[in-house]
Amino acid sequence: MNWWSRLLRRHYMEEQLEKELRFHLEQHASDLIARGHSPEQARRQARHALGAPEQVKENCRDARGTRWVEDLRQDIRYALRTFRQKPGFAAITLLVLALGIGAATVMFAVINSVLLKPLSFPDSARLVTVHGFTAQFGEFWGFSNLDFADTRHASRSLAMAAWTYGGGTIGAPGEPEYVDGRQISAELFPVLGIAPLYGRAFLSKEDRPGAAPVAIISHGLWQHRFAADPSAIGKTLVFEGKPHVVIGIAPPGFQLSGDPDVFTLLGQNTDPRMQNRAARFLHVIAPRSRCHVGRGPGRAHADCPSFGRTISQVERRG
Amino acid sequence: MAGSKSDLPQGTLDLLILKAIAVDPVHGYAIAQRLEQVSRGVVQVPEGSLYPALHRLENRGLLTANWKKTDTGREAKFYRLTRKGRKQLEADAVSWQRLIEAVGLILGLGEGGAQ
Repeated sequence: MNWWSRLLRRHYMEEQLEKELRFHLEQHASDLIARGHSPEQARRQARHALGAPEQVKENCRDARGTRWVEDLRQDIRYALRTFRQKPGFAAITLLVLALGIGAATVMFAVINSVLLKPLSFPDSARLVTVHGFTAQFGEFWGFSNLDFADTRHASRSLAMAAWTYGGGTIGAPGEPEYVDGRQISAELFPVLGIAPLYGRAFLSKEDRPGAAPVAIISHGLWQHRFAADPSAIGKTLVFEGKPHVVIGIAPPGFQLSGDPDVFTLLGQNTDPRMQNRAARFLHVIAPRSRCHVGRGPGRAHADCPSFGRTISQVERRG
Repeated sequence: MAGSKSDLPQGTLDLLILKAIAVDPVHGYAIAQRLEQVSRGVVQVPEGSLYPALHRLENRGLLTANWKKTDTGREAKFYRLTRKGRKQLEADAVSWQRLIEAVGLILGLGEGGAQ
């Protein structure tokens, strides 16, 4: 009989044990009677020879090797009974446990995504986010579209890309649905080193006002809106009421500060804020290898003279 | 009476049980009887330890048990050796033999000893 059947057939095991010990006692007693003892005396002597029956049984149960499971079951029962008797204590215990576990999980999730997990881009260690600086406001992460255009123009050697949040409603195909989106400059995919799974990346000639609207969609959206059909390339996606031609499918798991489903071109955005130098809503990314940097991301600006000059020009103009 | 009986050294009960059931299947009570008889009353099996030991050996696969009728027509649990148990018995007997020879040598009871 293996461990599992010993555990599961506990009542059977108990019966067998009881029966075996009873046989032993009766056999011993009848031997003693045959040797001339009185029945009562014989039974007493047999019991005495075997020892306390409960102790013997306990030792036999220990020998089964299933003891810890049975003890665990008893401990759990005992714990539940105690909880029922003292619900206040139980509630506080559970609350403390829940908060503790929750806090630890949150901390791990944040540390894991911010510090431990590398970015989902190839060779992400060479990427830097570009920050601006003004004497008046100090360092800032956001670029206005005009600043970005000037900076990019002034630092020809540096491939820079910009993005901003741009969610919206998909009207067709399928049911209307609000999805997360990003407006990106045409260079973003090449700068990140990402190639679309199908189709192509954006072209810089498309990255300007009045060009034909095109979109790259996430792998997930492609699966549930286009049934993962590669012929989705060239189809029309109505996004924010405007038909966009789908030109590419992002690779699975591609993230950009979240899991956006639709990528459109920043340059096709005609909002007034695109012409407002004070509206600093763009994140700017650059590959640091082009800056000849060897001393860590914090020093990138010091090692990119042309870039540094551009910032100061931008500052003067702004 | 008590002076003529010896307590079993630690760990020998398993070996004695294996030996006692080596020939034919026996139930627990008969194992105790058999050991006492064969040792001419010197070894008294602590009955309280006998059953835990039997169950432990059974769970280790050294012996196996089934219920059979005794001569008197009563149901009893009979134990017999498995192949693994027989190997264990042989190995244990050899190492026991070596141990008592060594102890005998140390106590001067061996060849060339005083007695």
